[in-house]
Amino acid sequence: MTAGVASSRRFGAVGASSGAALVAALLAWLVGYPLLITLLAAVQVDGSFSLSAVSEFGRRADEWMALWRSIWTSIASVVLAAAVGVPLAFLFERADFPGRRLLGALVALPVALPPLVGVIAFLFLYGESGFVARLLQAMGFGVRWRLQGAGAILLVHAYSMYVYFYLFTRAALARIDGAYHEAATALGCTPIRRLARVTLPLLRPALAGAALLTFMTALASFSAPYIFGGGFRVMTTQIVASKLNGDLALAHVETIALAALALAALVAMRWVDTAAPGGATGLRGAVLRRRRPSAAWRWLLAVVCTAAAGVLMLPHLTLLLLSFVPPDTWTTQALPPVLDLGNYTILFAEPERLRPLVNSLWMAGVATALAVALGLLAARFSLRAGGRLGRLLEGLVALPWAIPGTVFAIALAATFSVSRPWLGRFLWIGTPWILPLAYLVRSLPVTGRAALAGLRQLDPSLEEAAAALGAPPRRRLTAVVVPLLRPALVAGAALAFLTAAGDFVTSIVLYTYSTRPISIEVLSSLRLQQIGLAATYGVLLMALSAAVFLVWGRRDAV
Amino acid sequence: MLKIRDLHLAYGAVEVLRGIDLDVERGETVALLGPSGSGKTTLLRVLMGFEQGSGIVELRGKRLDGVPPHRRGIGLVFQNYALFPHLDVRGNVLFGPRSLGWDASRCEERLGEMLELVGLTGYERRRIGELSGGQQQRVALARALATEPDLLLLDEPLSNLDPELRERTRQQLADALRAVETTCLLVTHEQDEAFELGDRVAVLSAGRLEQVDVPERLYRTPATAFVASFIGRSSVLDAWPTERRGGELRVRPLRADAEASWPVLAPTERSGSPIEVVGPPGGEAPLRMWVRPEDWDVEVRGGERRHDAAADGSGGEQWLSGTVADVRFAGALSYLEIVVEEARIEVALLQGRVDPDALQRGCAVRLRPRSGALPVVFPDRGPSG
Repeated sequence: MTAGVASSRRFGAVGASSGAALVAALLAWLVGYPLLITLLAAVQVDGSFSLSAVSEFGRRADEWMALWRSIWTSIASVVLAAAVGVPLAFLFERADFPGRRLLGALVALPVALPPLVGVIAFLFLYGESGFVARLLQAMGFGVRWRLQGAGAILLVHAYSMYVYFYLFTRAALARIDGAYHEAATALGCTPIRRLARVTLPLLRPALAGAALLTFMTALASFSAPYIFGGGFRVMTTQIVASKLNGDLALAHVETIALAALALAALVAMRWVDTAAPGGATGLRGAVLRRRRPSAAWRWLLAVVCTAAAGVLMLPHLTLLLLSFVPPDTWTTQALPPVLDLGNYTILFAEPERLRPLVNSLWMAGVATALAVALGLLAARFSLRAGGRLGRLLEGLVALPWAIPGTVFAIALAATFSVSRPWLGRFLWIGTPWILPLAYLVRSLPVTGRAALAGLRQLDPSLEEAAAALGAPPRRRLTAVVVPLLRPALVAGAALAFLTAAGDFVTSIVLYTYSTRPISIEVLSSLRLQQIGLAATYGVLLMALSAAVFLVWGRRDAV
Repeated sequence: MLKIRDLHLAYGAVEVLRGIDLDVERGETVALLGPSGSGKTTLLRVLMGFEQGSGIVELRGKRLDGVPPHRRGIGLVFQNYALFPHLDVRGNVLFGPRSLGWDASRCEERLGEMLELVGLTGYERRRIGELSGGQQQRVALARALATEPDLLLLDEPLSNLDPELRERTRQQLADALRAVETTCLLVTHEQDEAFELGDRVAVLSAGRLEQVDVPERLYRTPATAFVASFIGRSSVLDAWPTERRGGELRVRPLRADAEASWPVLAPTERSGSPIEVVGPPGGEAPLRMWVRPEDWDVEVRGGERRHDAAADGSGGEQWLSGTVADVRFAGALSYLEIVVEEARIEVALLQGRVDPDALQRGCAVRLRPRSGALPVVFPDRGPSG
């Protein structure tokens, strides 16, 4: 009857695919291309195809050893972090005692701490000349130890990664419908059986998520193995060592091996079903009441939890205390004899000391701003274009989350160390732009996911309403979409900024003296035995974390 | 004002709109009525430019093809209102005028007018979350009208309100639309809403417009079997055409060999496709007949008012015999369910015209269409074959 029935094109889809393709190309250049260059570099010697570096990697026992150590320390980190985090979550979510809310928040604090800060705090607290050792000596105990090797790495990992299990489990416990609990009890379930047959199965998705996050973080961990590893090399430290030794071809092969390991782990974990079981009933039943033990028990719990929180806070407190110890005043005494603001004065008075702080702030600021803009664009086009292109965009944004920072550092170094503009390669190594670029790539998953989550929650009719009211596309974005996404974008930006400002793993590969960030300055202060200064930089990063936590807290309140 | 010709739209293989023709005159409100999934909302979205169909859409004589939504000059009230949660009432109402670059004084003036129109003067600074459902609905209307659109589209504007509030808000909406004299196209699946708000009602089914007419004519002379079933209530009976006498079609109800023969309104009188008067009885009924519940005469059989068949002038028994299966009291009306052979017939009787003792369950009655009320008939296999 009619010449042709038009197939529908949804609002917003017009022009979306070309825009999406453009953003996808940009992301592919930023995220995928460096990995490709690294892969090519791994199978090339002097510009021609050669598997010599690969076969050397295969022959050397220390390479296989590092690979194996990366795997087993990551698995052990998951187990230890779960052993600390899950019981804490049950304690704080299910029992009621004085100070529960405040302590519960304090316990989550290590999550926002840059890894290097946690590592040096541990060093100052539990190291061979740390607080604990000095106190024991002062008390006449002649014990000596070295905080080194796998044990030290695992200790730090357990300390900094239990928070994932703690937060995931608490959130899941809070979501579990009390009706399940009551139904199980009414059916005659004993508490033990109820835990095994009802609660834990319902927690499985949260536990699987926390396990994945912990494993990937531990696999990518660099600060702890670098400071505490000594001869105990894992893949990340092995790569940086090869690079510093000038064995670039081998470093590239190691980088590809680590990337492959990370992706394989991700795929393997996806096999484990992380979907929520059964989708619940949709009805919100009874809210589970917290158990209120007898008064004596409650106070005992309060004391135990305060002590636990205190132990978990000790590294932060140590750092804070040490930042008040002026240079060359603390030698052999058990406690520092002098405390003043000398380190802070030095840090802000000497331009060369202030410089790393300024560097970190501007580089993290630029990277965050770009990451937010790019993350928002990618998320918007991903949802609008949909289909294969949409999934590609989403995947590109998420990729840097799965790939260890060391891998990206090496990949960016490989890609941007030559000038071939027609191949999309520029000589950016040694310029101030390489670090912001690295931070940007590493921040993309955080900002992109925040934008994507925000956009998914945004009622599409709001944008249509704006269009119906005569608002052109730009006004729809600035007057409707961005204001409504602001909480999500601010949260993503805060986390991205924090990560970038505290970054150590990519910085150590890519920094130059003039653009050295805080983490590198901490490291050189350590080498020069300027403990107080190192601690002061650490405290400043901690303060930044606290500020970010405030932003997050306010977001939750809204 | 609005002219739609042969509008089609398909999602893949699924045709959602299948050749819509519709005209809406200046200042007129047309209610688009149809069951869910009939394509009502999709039609609005095509007019708005959120979906692209094929066919002709003209507003004030100008083709809208390729004109982006924000340049169409069409206002839209969303089913869920889609008020901007980050803006207050003032920010929402002025969003349109500001998008069009109106100057501040004109904006303020318009804000005052619009809030007065919907009775929300003094609510300028309220956040959307602080408003009740009915107030939100009125803000949505004020916001859509603020830019003085050539055409206002309303998508189920009252469906998010609870029934009591809906009644009241419907009245306010009707008053407001009358006051601004805007051309409106309103989507609804509620007949009452369509009848009260629409000057004309367009009945949509499976992507096709079945009939566009004033409410009375939709009810009395439905153009298709769908409209006959969808609008109001009816009992549907098998019917066999018997004779045509002076342009009037008569049918036998229920059985081909029924004694009764009733005058009906045949579709021939409207569409011109003649219905053949079939001779031999038997087989499937060629027609179906729709009789409204209020269009029946009912008498208690064996009662004092025995009907004289000869006085009917048709030379036969015109009544069907049945039994009362159920009596439902419903205020102004009482509903009888009468079983006649296999058929169940619903009859509505005005209160006071029924003797409650005479008409009870199990009681034998006879019934026939009220004189003057012509039932409609359509061929059995759908309205258009």
